Amino acid sequence: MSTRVFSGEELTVCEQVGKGGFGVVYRGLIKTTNEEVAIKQIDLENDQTDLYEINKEIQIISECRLPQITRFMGCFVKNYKLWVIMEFVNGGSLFELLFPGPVQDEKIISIIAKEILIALEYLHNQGKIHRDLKSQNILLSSSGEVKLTDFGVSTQLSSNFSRRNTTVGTPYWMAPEVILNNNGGHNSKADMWSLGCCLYELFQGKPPLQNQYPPMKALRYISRCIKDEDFAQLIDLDSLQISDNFRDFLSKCFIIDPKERFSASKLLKHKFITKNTTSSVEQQKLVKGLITRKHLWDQENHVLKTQKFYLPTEMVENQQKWATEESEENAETIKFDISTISYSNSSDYPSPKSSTHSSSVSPPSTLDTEVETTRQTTDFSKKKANYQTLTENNSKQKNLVKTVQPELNRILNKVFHKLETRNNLSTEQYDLLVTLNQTIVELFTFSNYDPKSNSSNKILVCQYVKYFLKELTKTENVDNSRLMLQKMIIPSDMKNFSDINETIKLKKKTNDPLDEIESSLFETWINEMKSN
Amino acid sequence: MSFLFKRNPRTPQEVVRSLNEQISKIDLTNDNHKKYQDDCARFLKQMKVILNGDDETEPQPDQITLLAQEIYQTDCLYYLITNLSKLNFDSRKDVSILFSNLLRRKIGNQSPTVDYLINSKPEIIMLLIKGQVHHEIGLICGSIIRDCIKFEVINSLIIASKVFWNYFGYVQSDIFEVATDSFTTLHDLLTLHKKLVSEFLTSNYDQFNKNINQLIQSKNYVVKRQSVRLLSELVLTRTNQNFLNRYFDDTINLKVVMLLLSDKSKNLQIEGFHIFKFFIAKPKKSQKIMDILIKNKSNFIEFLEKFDLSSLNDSTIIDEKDYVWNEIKKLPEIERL
Repeated sequence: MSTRVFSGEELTVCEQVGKGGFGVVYRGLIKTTNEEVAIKQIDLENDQTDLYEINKEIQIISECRLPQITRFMGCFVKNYKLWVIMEFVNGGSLFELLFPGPVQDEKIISIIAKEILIALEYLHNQGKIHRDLKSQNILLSSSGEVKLTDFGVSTQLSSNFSRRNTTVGTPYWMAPEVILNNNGGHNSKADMWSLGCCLYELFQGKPPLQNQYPPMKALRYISRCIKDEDFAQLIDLDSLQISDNFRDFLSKCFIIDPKERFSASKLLKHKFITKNTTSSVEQQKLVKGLITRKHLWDQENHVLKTQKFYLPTEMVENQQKWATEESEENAETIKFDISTISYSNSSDYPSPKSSTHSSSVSPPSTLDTEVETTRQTTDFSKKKANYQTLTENNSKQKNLVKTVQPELNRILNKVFHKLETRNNLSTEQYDLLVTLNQTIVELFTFSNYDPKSNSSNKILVCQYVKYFLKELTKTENVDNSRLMLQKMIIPSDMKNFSDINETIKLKKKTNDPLDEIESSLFETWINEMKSN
Repeated sequence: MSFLFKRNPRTPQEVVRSLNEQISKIDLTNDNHKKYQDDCARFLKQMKVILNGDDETEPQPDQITLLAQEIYQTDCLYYLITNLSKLNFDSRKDVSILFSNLLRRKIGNQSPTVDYLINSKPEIIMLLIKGQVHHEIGLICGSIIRDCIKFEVINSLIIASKVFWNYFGYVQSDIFEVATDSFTTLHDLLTLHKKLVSEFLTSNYDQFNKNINQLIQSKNYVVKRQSVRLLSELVLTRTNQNFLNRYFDDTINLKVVMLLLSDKSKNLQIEGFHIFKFFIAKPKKSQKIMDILIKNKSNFIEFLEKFDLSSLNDSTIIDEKDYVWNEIKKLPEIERL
C-alpha cells in the first residue's frame, strides 16, 4: 500500500513520457516489484523556481492519499536534480483521449466529473488548491479509474504567466478572479471554474472560447464578464446540445462571483452527479471505452510515438555541459590556496587537501576543466569586444524590435499551439518547432547586426521571403513539381494566391493595438474592474 | 437509529476517553486494526467539531474547556503521538490540527497547553522531534513542532536539550521531504526568537559552527544550498553580533566559504558570495584572515572576473561584487622572499 522509493538505484528508468513546466517525466519501473512509476526530474540548479517553493509543493503532494489522486511515492536528490516518484497512470490524459473527438455520452462526463469532484473535495477540505486543473492533468488508468495529477508541482500562477507569453500554454481554464488578481488572491473556488471548463471541453472537444479566440483575447473576454449571463452568452451555453442537468451543473461552475460559485461538496450533490446510478463496474467499462477509442484512432491515423530514453548523466558530464552551454563565465573552478591555513581545532576536520577534492570532482577532470578554462577565456574576451560594438549600434534596432517582436511571437505561438493540439507532439517534434520558431524570431528581429551594412541583413531576409512567396505562387507556366510544392506549402484555403499578399498586409496592420493590450494587459484589466 | 447513538459518545470527556481506549487497541499486525483506526478517525473528527464547530453548530467555550481538561488529565496527546504512525493517513493530519487548536487556546496570558507540555509531559516534545525523521509521520511531527516553538519556552527547551543536535542529522535524510521539513524546523528554531538564539549561538559557538560547516560541505546539493542560506540569514541578524564577530575571525569558516566559491554550481557560488562579502567588509580583520586573503589575492581577482551576475537582474549584488573587488585590489601584494 505504501510503497516508497528511496533512491534512484531502486528504479529502471524507461522512456520519456512527458515534459512539464518543471522538467521531464519518465516512465520507470521499480526493480524489485516491476511496478510502473512516473519519474519527474526537476533541475534544481537551472530551474528558476525557488528551492523553498519546490519544498512546499512536494510537502503538499506528499500529504495527499486518495484513489482519485496520483499517489506520491518518494522524492530524493540526485546530483543537481530532484527526482519525484509518482504513481504511473497508463491510460493517458483526457486531453489526449479527446483527439478522436468529443465525448457525446453525458453519462461518461458525469462519471468523470464525480471522480474529479471527490478529489477536489479532498484537497479543498485540507485547504489545498489545485490551481492548474485542465484536461492534461486528468489521467485515466487502463482499468478505468480517473485520477487528478500535477497539482502543486505545477509552478505558481505568476510564473506560469510569463512562461505562457514566451511559449505556448493556454489559459482557457482560468477563472475570472484568477486572471484579474494574479497574486494569488483566489481560493479553492477557482478550481471549480476550471472543472466546468474541463467538462465543457469533454463535450465540445475544446475548452470554452478556444475555437473562437487566441489565448490573450480569451483571457480579456473572460475577465470582462461581470454577470453570470455574460459568460453564459460568451460561450453560448444555452444553445449547447446538452441535458438540462448538465447545463445547470455548468452554470453553477461558471458563477462569476467566487463566493456564490458552488463548492465541490455542493456539486457532488448536484443532480447531474447523483442521477447517475450505473454500477461501478459499468462505469469503469464506459471510461475504458475512451481509451479503446483512442487506440483505434491511433491505429487509423498511424500515430507512432517516437520514444526518447533516459540516459543517466554523470556529474562530470553535467558540468561540462554547463561550461559549454553558459559558455563564458560559469563553471570554472578557482583553486584557492588554503594549504597554509592552520587549524586550531582541526581534529574534527578532514585535511584541507582532501576536502578540496571532495567538493570538486576527481583530480584528473579538474585538470581537464582547467585547460578548457584558458581556451574559453580567450574566446570570451573576443566575444566581449564584439559585444560592445554590438550594443552601441543596437539601440535603434531595439525600438523596432519592441514594436514588432511581440506580434511576431504571438503569431508563432499561435502556430505552435495549433500544431501542438492537433498533432500530440513528441518531444523531438516539440524541440524541432521550438528551434524553428527561434530561428524565425532571430531572422526577422535580431538578424545579425553588422554596423557596416546597417540593417540590410534584415531587409535581405524579408525580401527573400517575399520573393520566395512570389516565385512559389506564380500561376503561369507552372510545371508539375511546382504545383506539388504549392500544394505542400500554401494553405488550401488560399486558392487565390493574391490573398497571400493581402493577409500579409493585414497582419502588419493589426500590429500596434494588440501589442499595447498585451503589454499592459493586467493594468488595463485591473483599472477596468476598479472603475466598474 | 438508536444503535448509532450508542456508538457515538456525546460529552467531550467521553470522546477523549473513547479515543484513548481505541488507540490502545490498534495493532497493525492484527486484521481488525482497520475498525479501530476508523473509530479513532471518527473521534478525532468529533473533537475537531467541538473545537471549531461545523456548518450547524458554533463552538461552545465550556465544551472546549471540558475537552481540553480531559485531554491534559488523561495524557491523550501523549498517546496520540506515541501511536501516530498507527493512525490512518488522514487522521494524522487531524492530530496536527488538534494540537494547533489547543496551543492557540489561551486563559489570560497563559497557554494551558504549553504549561502542560513543559511541566507535565515534556516527553511529548522529545517524541515529536524524534518522529521528524520517520518517513510516514515526519511531516506531521514537523508541523506540530513548528506550532509549539512559536512559544519561546518550548523553543528554549528544545535548543537546550541534546536532541536539538539531531536536526543536523535529520536534514541530511535521503528522504527529500523529511530532510527539507526538518530544515524548516531547524530554521525556525534558530530564527524565531532572536534573543534566545543569540545567547544560544554565543554559548554554543564551537558546536554549532562545526555542525553547520559540516552541512555546508555535504555532498547533497540541497543540504548545501539550504545550510548556506540559513547561515547567511544568521549572520545578517543584528542580534547575533557576538556570533558573527567570532565567525568572521575564524579561518576555518573562510576556508569553507572559499570552497563554496570554487564550487561548480553557480547557485552555490552566489550563496557563498553572500557570506564571503562579510569577510571582506569586516572592519577589523584578524591577522590570520588577512594572511589568507592576501595569499589568495590573485585567485580572488580571477574568480571575480569570471563571476557573472548579469543574469540575476539584481543591482545590489552587482554593487556588492564591485565593492568586494575593489577591496581585494587594495590588499597588499604577496611578499615573495
